[in-house]
Amino acid sequence: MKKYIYKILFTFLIMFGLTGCYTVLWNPNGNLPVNNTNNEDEVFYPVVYYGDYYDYYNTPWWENITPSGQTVYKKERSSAGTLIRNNNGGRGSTPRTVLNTPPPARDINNTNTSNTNTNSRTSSSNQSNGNRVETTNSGNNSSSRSGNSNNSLRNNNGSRNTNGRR
Amino acid sequence: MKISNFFSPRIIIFLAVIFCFGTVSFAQNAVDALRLGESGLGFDARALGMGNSYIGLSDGSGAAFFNPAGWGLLKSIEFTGGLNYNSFNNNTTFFGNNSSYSNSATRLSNLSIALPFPTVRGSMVFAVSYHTTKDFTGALKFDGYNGTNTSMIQDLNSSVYYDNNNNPYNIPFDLYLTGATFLNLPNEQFQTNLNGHLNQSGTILESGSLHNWTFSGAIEASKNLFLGLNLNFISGSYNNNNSYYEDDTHGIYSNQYLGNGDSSTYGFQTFYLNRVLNWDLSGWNLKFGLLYQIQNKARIGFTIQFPKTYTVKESYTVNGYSQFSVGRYDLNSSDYSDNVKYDIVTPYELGAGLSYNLEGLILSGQATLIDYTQLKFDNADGLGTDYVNKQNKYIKDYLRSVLNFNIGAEYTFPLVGLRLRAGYFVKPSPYQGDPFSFGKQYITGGVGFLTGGNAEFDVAYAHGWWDTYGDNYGPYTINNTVVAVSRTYQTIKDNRIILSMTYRF
Repeated sequence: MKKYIYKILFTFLIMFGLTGCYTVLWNPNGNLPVNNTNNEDEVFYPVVYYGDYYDYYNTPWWENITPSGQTVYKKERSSAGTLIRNNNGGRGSTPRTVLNTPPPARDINNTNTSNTNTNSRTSSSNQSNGNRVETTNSGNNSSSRSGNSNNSLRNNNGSRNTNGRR
Repeated sequence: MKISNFFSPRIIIFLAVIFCFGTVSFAQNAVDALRLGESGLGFDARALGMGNSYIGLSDGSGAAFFNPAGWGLLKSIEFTGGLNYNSFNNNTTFFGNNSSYSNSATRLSNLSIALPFPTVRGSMVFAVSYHTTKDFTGALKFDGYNGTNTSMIQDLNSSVYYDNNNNPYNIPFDLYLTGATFLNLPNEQFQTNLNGHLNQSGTILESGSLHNWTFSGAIEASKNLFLGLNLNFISGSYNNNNSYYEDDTHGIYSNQYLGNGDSSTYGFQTFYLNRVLNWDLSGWNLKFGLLYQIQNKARIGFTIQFPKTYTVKESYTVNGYSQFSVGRYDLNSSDYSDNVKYDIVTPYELGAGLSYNLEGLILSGQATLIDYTQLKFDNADGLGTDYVNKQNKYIKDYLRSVLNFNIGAEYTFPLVGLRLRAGYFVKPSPYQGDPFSFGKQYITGGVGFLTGGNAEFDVAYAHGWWDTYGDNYGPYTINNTVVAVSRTYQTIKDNRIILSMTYRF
């Protein structure tokens, strides 16, 4: 019996003595760590072949929580990984552009004629917004929404954008 | 050599009741050791679907059984639960007669939880798991006329016990299957005119299972190199209910005395023996694992399973009766029942596995080396030291080391989250000289489905088949030749279904 106890102790000592070699635990006083292993060259279940199984296997649980006062930083995907997914996933070969635009606001002075009546009714209540000058034209309404990072994670059909992967 | 010479004064030898499925032996033998020494099929539906070829993959709850280093690959908190269904069918040929018998069981296969610690670099995961590692469900039925001059009654007559007054007794004597005359030469036994030629029939039902409480830890020791350890606390039970009949269907003894001049032994008709073996099992062991991921293409794993030490608390109950034309005699059960305690220590198991990821198709293979000659009985309480040593020598002399092979594949359809699996594995027979067909072969298949990105449902089916045989008594060795005298030739089919659900968040 003794020899087995020694084996257990020895094995645990070896195991946890080795933690200093590579594994570094998160310090609770700091920000939650980033996912450090989702490099395409290291992922055994890449999204192009495994779809939703990618997140199932590769996304650390602590990336799904954001304690107050902390910011979770995401590691940027490698360009090589992006190309692989685009070439095989049918999502286009050119990188998507994210427009950094101010939040949308209605400009009562630039509305078209068909909206005149409506705008005139709301203008009095929106006086405080009158100083926020909209610099985008009405044709860019959809791209202005892309400024919201949460919405950029998925296309309308539910598939992932190249830049949206966590 | 004619079997009719078996019990003549010139004859030698007896026994070697080793290779029996449900042996008549009143004590432990290699079969008992193997029952615990041979590993089970585990509990993981994904692994079983891939032919249990999982040492080189193990990135889920299956790590608690296959490769503890696989826990280190986990990045989500994981809950797993599952159910196991087992159906066992045995087709037996006994003196030209075919019989079929089945047994089945449904039980919880596993519950586990794993917690990866947040790491800045590397990985550290702890897990607790309760799972069923082995199912003892089994069945056997046989019925045939044994035309030789041997019988269980005569075999039991060769084992003689002495009471406190030094008077000899045994089961045939107590059931009036012999006379009262005690013969000392060439072997101690009571005089009987019984000389085989009886119909032999019976059933054996086996049930029980082994369960593990497994506490696991794994770390990433260097980049993509994972080390893990499972500490298993084992519990379980085993039950073997053996009912055996010998009937004078040809009326050979209907007008005879089995004991010379003893009127109580006139007109023998039936002998019945019921033996019930109950084990209360506990034990523990360690399993160490290593897993290295080669970029995004392959994983290679190695495992060392340290010997399992089982403590067996055994209850053995014997009942029986004999039926004569003049009446029936019942056995006093307490004279032949006992309770003993002993340890069974299993051998090391060394495993190596490789999995390769080919654009959504995972191919996996593994081999496990087990030297069954290292099985042994130990720390016996209620068994003689000489007897234990003799059984350990039998194990060394008649068992061998084997290499188990497993292969498997899994393909994922990424758009629908569906996975299809297939596998095959073989566990060669641990007995020396057994042919390949005596090895346990399984073909497996499975389906996995991911829903909501968090919950995976898996189902696996395994169909196994192998041949074996067992002896109700004997075999006897005559002039260095082993002769089977009451042997059942068995073709076994084993079907398993495992359902499991895994939730990660």
